[in-house]
Amino acid sequence: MMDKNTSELDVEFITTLSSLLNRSDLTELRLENGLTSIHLKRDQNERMAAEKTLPAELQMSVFEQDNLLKSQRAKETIVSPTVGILHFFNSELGFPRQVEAEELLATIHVGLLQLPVRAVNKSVIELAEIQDGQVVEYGTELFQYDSQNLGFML
Amino acid sequence: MIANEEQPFISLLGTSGILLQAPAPLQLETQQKIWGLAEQVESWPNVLEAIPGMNNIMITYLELPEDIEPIKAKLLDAWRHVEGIQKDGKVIDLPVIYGGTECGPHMQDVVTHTGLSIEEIVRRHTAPLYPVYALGSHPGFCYLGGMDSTLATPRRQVPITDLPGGAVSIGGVQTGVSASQGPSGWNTIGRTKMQFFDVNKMPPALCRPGDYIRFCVEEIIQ
Amino acid sequence: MIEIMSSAALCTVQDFGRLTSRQYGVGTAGAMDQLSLAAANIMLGNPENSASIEIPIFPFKVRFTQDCDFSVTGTEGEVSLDNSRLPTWWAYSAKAGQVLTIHQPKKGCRAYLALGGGIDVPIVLGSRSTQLRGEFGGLEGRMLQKGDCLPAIQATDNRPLDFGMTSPLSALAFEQENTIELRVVTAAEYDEYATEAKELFWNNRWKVTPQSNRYGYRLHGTEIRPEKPIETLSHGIVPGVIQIPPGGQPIIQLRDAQPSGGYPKFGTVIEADLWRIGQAAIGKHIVFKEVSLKDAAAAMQQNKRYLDDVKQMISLQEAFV
Repeated sequence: MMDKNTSELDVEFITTLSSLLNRSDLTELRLENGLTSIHLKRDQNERMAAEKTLPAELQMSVFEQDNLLKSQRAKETIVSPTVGILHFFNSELGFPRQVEAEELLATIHVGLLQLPVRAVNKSVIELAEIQDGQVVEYGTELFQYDSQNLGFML
Repeated sequence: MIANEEQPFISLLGTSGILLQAPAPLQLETQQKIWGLAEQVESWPNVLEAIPGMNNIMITYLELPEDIEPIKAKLLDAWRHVEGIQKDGKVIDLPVIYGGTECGPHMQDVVTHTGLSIEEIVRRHTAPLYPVYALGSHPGFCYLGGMDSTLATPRRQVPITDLPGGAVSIGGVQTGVSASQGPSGWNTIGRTKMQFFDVNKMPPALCRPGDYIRFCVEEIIQ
Repeated sequence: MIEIMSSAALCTVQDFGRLTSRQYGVGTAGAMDQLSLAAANIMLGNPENSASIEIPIFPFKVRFTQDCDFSVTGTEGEVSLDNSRLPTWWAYSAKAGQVLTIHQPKKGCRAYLALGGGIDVPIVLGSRSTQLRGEFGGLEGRMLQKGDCLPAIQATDNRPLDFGMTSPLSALAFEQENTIELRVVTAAEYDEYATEAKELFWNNRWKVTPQSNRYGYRLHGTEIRPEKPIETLSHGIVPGVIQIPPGGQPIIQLRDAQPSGGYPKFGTVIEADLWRIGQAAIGKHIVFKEVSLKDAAAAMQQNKRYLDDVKQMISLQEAFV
């Protein structure tokens, strides 16, 4: 990719970079290639804190960690980890439904790559205002869940 | 060197092989040129393997170039100039139990087709020294030349699904010995015990092109 | 290390195959869908040619006897890891004791299960592929059975995996209305067929019969006959060769075929399309299209571009994780 002509530094490439940056330990990234350069910098507030509070082996994405931090609130959201095309997994099961912690809810397709969107914990999950096959932005709200009211909902 | 001055026929095997077929009829002199060509071609650029067949040779590549004409021309030129190789191959004696339902279940079909007695079939089958032309079909199997044409018997209408290893059989004008159990359309007239393939040896096949096989009688079952 | 938990008849260990032992009578063997095999390995950071399990029978079940990265490619469908569901074309890290089940595919017919490091069976004559006729390669030269244990080569990369890849079944146009197009370069005996027979061959919609497997795909359609009977001497053949035996129904010789044959050859499916046959289930239809070597090279480039895209995605991931 680095040796590609700079004109080919396309949107897909940049979104992939941004997604990967957000999943990494890096705080910023600068790529220079001839006349063009990209500088990506990430928001460093609660995300960094989240990483410190969770054991690494949990392997939850930064965005799921975001959600975990917010779990004191009544309605929580799961947002898209990247720009891409959303595909529901097990869509025949419909929404709302009860899901297990870590359950795969959807995949976001970035080029050939597919990134997981997983449930944070055992909860009842509802669909946000999105559809299968829709292009989503970084941070687009995908699902809402309410882990406090699990018993009530069942 | 060979009587027939016709050009060989060169064709494609998809994107990974070239086939050169020498002009008919099938003969040892032509096969010796095939062996000579195989030795040369193996060192050509990008060639995976040069595999002699019966008066033909397959040359394999990972991926053939888009323009095949230079390779064709080079092959034709090499064929025109190649010297036949007189291989000083080893002679392998194979004791054979001929006939009987166990060892030679199709002997009767050969008797019926050729009109010869079992003894005469065995005499004519054990007479020649058979040159190994090429290997193929399955690991260690030899394509032999030189069978007495009076023994020729057509392949079976319905192939046998599990011909055992060591089966001595006749298919058309060819004879051979299966190296392991598997399907075959040939007529089995006898059984031998030789192991033709050992994956732990290099080369793994007992016979090489240019070797000879001699069948000898261990027993004749009526 | 994995243990096979289900009946595994017809499942074999395969890599790209044995390409330089045909002179000893040894067929190539090797994965039927080499694009999926390569992708499965790339997803795990393995060399592309690492051995994996080729699975044509479902459900297929294995237990991980130690922590192990795995990927499942080939078919489109689902797998279960214990009670959690994943799509195929996914790379993940299993824990010791977890059971992986590969379910009946939704698309395609051969799945590949690759392990981090690659399956560790001995290299025989340059390959780990199972040579069934020769009874060597793979696991003891045979199909897998329930209870078999297969070790993986120690993987160098221990980062946990959780991502998927879009399959060639979706990324490279695979089928239309249950019909798969295969590109063909004509072979030696092509011109011994009359124009009408040739047109029949190209226009037929050939059905994949139940007698189709790793040895060859037997097709059913209108019979193709030569002008007069064709006699050929035994000669070397490659996977993809389309023979037309006296019955007039074509056979595409494939990875477990003999390395030599004598039936008339109509053409050869180009190497770049052999993976499509590997994913063509019994009952599907096949149409053939004549192409030049130039077209064939372009098709191979397209396959390579697909794998390059997979690699690019993986290396970008690795650079930041």
